[in-house]
Amino acid sequence: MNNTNAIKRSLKKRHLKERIFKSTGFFSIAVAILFLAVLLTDIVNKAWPAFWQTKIELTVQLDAEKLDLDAYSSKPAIMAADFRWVIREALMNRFPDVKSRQDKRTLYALTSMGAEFQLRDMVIDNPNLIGQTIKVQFMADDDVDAIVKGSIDRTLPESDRRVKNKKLAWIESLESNGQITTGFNGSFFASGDSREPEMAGIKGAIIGSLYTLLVTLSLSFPVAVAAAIYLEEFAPKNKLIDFIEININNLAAVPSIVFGLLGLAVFINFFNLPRSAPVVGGIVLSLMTLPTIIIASRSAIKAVPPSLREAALGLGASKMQSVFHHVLPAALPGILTGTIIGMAQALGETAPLLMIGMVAFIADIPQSVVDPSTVLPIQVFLWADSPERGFLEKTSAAIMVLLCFLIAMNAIAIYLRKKFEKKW
Amino acid sequence: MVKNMNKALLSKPSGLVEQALKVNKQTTTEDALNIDYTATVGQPNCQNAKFSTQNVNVYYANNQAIHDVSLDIGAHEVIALIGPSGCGKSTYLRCLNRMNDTIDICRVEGQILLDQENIYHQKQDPVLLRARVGMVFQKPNPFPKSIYDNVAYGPRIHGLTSNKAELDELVEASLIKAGLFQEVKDRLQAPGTGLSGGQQQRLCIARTIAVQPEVILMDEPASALDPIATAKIEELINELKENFTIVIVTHSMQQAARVSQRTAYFHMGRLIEVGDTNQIFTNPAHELTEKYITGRFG
Amino acid sequence: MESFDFDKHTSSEYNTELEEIRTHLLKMGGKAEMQLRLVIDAMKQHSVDLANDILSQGDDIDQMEIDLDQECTRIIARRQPAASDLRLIVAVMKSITDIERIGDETEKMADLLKPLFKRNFRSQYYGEIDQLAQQVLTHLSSSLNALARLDAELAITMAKKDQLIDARFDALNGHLIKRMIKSPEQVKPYLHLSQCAQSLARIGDHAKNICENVVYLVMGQDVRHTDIDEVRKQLF
Repeated sequence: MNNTNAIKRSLKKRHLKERIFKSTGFFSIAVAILFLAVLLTDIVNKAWPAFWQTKIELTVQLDAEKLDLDAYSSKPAIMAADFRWVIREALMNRFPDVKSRQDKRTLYALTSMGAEFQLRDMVIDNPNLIGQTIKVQFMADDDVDAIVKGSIDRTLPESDRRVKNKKLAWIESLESNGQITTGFNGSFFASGDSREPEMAGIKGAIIGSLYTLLVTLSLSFPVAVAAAIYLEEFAPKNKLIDFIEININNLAAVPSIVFGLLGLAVFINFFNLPRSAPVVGGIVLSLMTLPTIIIASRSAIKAVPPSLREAALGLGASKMQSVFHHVLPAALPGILTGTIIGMAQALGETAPLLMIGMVAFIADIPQSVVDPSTVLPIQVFLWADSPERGFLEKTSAAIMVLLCFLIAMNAIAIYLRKKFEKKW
Repeated sequence: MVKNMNKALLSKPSGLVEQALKVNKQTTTEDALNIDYTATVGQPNCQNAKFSTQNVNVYYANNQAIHDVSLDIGAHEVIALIGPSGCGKSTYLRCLNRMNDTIDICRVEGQILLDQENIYHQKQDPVLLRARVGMVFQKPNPFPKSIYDNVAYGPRIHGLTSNKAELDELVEASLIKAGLFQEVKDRLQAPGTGLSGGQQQRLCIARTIAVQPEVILMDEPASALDPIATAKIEELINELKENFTIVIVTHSMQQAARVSQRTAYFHMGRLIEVGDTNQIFTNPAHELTEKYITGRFG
Repeated sequence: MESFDFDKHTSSEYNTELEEIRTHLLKMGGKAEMQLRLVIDAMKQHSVDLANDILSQGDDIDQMEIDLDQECTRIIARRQPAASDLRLIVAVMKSITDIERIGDETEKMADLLKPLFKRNFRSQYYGEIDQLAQQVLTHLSSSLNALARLDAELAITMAKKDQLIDARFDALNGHLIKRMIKSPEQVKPYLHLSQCAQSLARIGDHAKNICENVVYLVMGQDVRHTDIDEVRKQLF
């Protein structure tokens, strides 16, 4: 009974320690959640305007003679036609009292540089518009966009303001006429990069990322799984295999930029593969993700109970059959999780891609894995580097897209794990 | 007196009297561990041997796990291998279907003949051997598949049946032989892992039978089961001996006594004594066997 | 001898139980031996009192048999003895039956002799019977010794010597029958003496059984109903 008292005495202390540990853990989690919340709120907050676009409604006359076009004009002819003055004319019509050259130039800058292409594309889609007078909502310039979204404070003194009084007056006049509208920014998801913030879209980077990941996945998954199976199930125990194993583990810790250098030296300089292309990026990233997937796959294979192998072998299955019929299906959830983690890592990787030229400005949307392209994190990097105010929100928006991709990939990982998981 | 006793215990009218007496001469009576046990006492040979092993030595790297074991296993007999933990009985069992091949550091020396053919001969394929010599493990290890697929797996990989109907028939027959069919006939597509421990083990036996082996090796098949499930397995073994040769490793001496016709006692990697189960459990010839089965180790 | 050291089991309780059984068995054997000694004394002194003592003590042996039987059954149920332990239990269960019978035989002799003592019947054959009894007593003691020391060699020797007892009994019985034919009016007392001698021969047989049990216990060989010389040749 002496024991009971001694235990009771120490019990208080032990319980206290437990409580302290629990509250410390809870506090840590709370801090982590807080940081995450701040980060996400900030990004979403900054990115939100990027998903909306300001448009200016103008009445344009598509005069057939002046454009030298008719309803039966061919596509190249329309492409060659000059739509710029049509918009300028429309602006001049809207603000007839603008006279000086300098004012005119400022006036023409109300709409985006892309406005004429917008009009041209409309005409290509529907050549019957030629000769008509129509109302078109043109993409506004990023300054107008900033004023409308309130990014530029209208109450500032003119000297501190990027948009001068005259321009502001035009914008307010348009606003009061209901000619300025705000709509969902579809072109953000539908176009490639641009020097003009209002025209810059993320589609090029998304496609580039998808191509890169496709190359990475199709290279690293089979190679890594095959390597893992060989090392776990077939490899003899000797010095060489030990050496290989150690190096695979070391490879996972190599700074990613080193892989970039390797890609530059070997794939581009030696094998003459195209610069800036997803194929090279994919190869480099698959080198980088290989060790991750190999390690994850090996531990998944190792976690398969040996009794399962023995059961198969005991029935007279060959080694190969026991691996492919029983071990691999049982290890699949772990292998897939490892693969998706590796892919997510590849998706977010920047440094090695900088080395192989994927940091270039590429406005076109890549059509294949050998076309020059960029990827999401590099797009973020590029936009963050740009001086224009409009790119600030684009940067955050690109980060959001990147995060959405990562969340989607993790969701797939969880789904696959649940689907293939079996109890034994 | 003491000396007489030992002499009495060790010298048997079994045709091995001289051998036993030789053992006795080298014996120091005070310490069991000093007992010379290099020679096997009893009847390691038998008439219609299915397996015949001669001077089998097994090494794990540099540790010798089995020393010079020579033992015949007769056709259609149930032979029980007993002995304390780490005595090599499981290792020996796993030599019989070359399961030890899966362990890199394991090396087997000596001759193991199955129907007069050396199973460790280079031309022998372990896959074929394992189809002829099936194995049931200590822990029930059904595949994470349906009951049907578990039983059908062996016939499928070996291509034993030519169509679905034949396979169905074989699966049913195997389940019936394993005494499981009545319990699972309505849920053949249910996962095998969902059965109770005893049912899982009988499923594993059914799975082994489905390949129609000649010999079934059982490595402590009932050690993870409750007494009723154990009794069912033992009853099953009794029925199976009609068609199969069964080698069973067990920690339960009572189980060995109940199911086997012959019993082999292993100690520290050596085969100490083999004999008729009735004799081993009433009157073992070797002092170590005696000590083990009367519970005098430890 | 090692195999019969009861203190070598992993379970110490088992050791104690087996040790107890052996002690009780030896005690019971001692008791039966005592009874036989009393019979011999009673014959020497023609004492009715001693005969009564023998009769009153018969129940003790019966009780001991019941107790030992229970102990053995309990051990079989709880310990599932094997090998030498199993043989010990089996040998004990068989031997206690024999010892109990020996007790019965002594009671029977006391019963037979009491009326003779009462009538103060005298005969030269008392001496003969006494000699037979002495021989049986030696035989029984040796058998119990063999049991106590688990001495198979001694047991076989004693089993062999049972033939001498049988021979002596046959001779004595022949004389007694002749005596009965000669004086038919004294058939009853001589018949009693003859039955006494028969009881002694029975005790000898039971002692032989005990010896055979010892051989079984030690050697694991059932030597009942086999030629002793053959057995000896086989075992030694």
